Amino acid sequence: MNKKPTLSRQDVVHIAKLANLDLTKGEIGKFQKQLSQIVDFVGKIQEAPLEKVVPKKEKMNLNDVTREDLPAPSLKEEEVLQNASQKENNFFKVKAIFDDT
Amino acid sequence: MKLEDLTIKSIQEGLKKKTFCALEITERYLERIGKTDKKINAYITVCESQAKKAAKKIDQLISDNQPLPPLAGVPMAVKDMFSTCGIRTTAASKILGNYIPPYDATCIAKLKDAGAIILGKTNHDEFAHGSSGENSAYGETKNPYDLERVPGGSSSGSAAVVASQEALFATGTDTGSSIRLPAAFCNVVGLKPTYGRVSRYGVIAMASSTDCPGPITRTVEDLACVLEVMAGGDPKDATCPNVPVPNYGKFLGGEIKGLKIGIPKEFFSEGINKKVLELTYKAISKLEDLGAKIVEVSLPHTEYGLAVYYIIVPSEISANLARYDGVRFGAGREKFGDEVKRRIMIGTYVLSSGYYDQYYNNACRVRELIKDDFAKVFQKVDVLAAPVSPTPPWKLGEKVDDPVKMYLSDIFMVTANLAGVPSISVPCGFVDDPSTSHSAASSGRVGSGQSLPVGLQIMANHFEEEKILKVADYYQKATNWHKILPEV
Repeated sequence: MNKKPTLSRQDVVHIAKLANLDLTKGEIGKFQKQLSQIVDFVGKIQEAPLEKVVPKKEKMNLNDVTREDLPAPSLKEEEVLQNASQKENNFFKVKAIFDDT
Repeated sequence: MKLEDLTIKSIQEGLKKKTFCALEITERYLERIGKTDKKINAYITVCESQAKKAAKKIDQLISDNQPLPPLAGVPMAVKDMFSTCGIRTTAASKILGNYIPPYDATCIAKLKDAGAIILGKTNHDEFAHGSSGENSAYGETKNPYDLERVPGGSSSGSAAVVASQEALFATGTDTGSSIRLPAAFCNVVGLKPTYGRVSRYGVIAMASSTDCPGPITRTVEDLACVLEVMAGGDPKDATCPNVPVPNYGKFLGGEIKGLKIGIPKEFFSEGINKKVLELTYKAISKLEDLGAKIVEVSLPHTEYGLAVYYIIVPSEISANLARYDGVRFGAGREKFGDEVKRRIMIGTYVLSSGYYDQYYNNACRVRELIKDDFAKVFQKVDVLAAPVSPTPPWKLGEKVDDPVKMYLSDIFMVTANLAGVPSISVPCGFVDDPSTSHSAASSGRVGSGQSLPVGLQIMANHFEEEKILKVADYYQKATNWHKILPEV
């Protein structure tokens, strides 16, 4: 008997929306199955002996490396913009986000 | 001059004695690429004119009697995850198909300053998401030892070019196996350095808490030279501390008598291919014969490694890849391949409201247990030895539609990334003994599909790469598996 997938089609649509991905109908079905398998697989984490973990202040056990905040030579404007799909007056030209009309 | 005989040292000597010039070496490699790369598809971009120009600069230094930098005239290949100034950098994705970085990654700038010549940019799984190289938007790379099999990923092209003499060495990135697995599958040496040993600045981000750039070479000696150049603090990477870089070459060649090598019992579990297991045990007893002391140890939380990895890494991927929206540069998000979409969505899911504690937070907590396992074990032993992959290279296409099956191939490698410790893969034999093959005996090369390489993994504590290199070098010189080349 086939197990019901852990994630529903609606779940996949919701996750895709959060992730700013447009999925086709076919992709939704395929990813529903595959993502459910992955979520089941990582569900093993719930069996881990979490009570053994001693909370630490720093998650990474690493000290950040900092430097003096001094001005230094950087990229030229044309270098920064060399990959822009559209530019105007040394700025990236992008579509309007707010539309007043 | 035979390409397969060249090493960093022999190139330096040859240049100084004027046996050959830098341009000649670069041209020979470009010729080789022209001849063999159509069979293995290891390069996304070949930079012929830039390479020749850089080689001529080295020759100019020689004719001006200037001192030569340590990697002068050494032809290298760069994984397409590394930003290279003026050279297209795609991350093996259509989303960056036309992207030309205006700057070099820190470690690439260091390699260029050291005189290394960029021959081109190598193929890999898109954004380094994969274990087989098949997730590239530029076609799969083939294993030079068997053209029907995967070269291992994600640094598939980097390992394949070194194996087939299309470059003397290559750079790779290892987030959860991506240097070591292809190194093992292509019979070359690959080191995932300590997290923070090599700067990540300018390397396209996958998972920022586990990404490690590192070298892939044919010999451990060459690897020591390249690592010495790539390593070191970088003010542009806040996780790259100013820990002094030793002269790694100095640690090679010595005895390994009395050195304690731990064998983590969890890495010898069921499900591992019999032949791989046999070769790993053989390698360990070889190390014992060479004088090392073998001790069984335990890393008890290894079984949670993959679950922790496939929660934390996709979480960081979903954040890091949010920037690819096509607004300022690059194409739109519809250009992402399937595996990239899957990982972004898994990350988004485990970080989303209602699931964050259950998945992400718990994974971070179990990661602490995995780190503690390593910390405890390195109080008892100098290095650890274990298999790299539970299986030899598999057939192209075999696992592409089954992501979980693909993930399982990284089972013995992800914990080193989660703990941030350095780890190498060094050749330790072939599934079918090539010495029984006629062609190998006569030409020193094995035909496609005759023999599949296997790697041995050696790990050490943070910033103790020299211990790994010492053991790997001693083992390599005693076994010479790396000298069995593919007939590609």
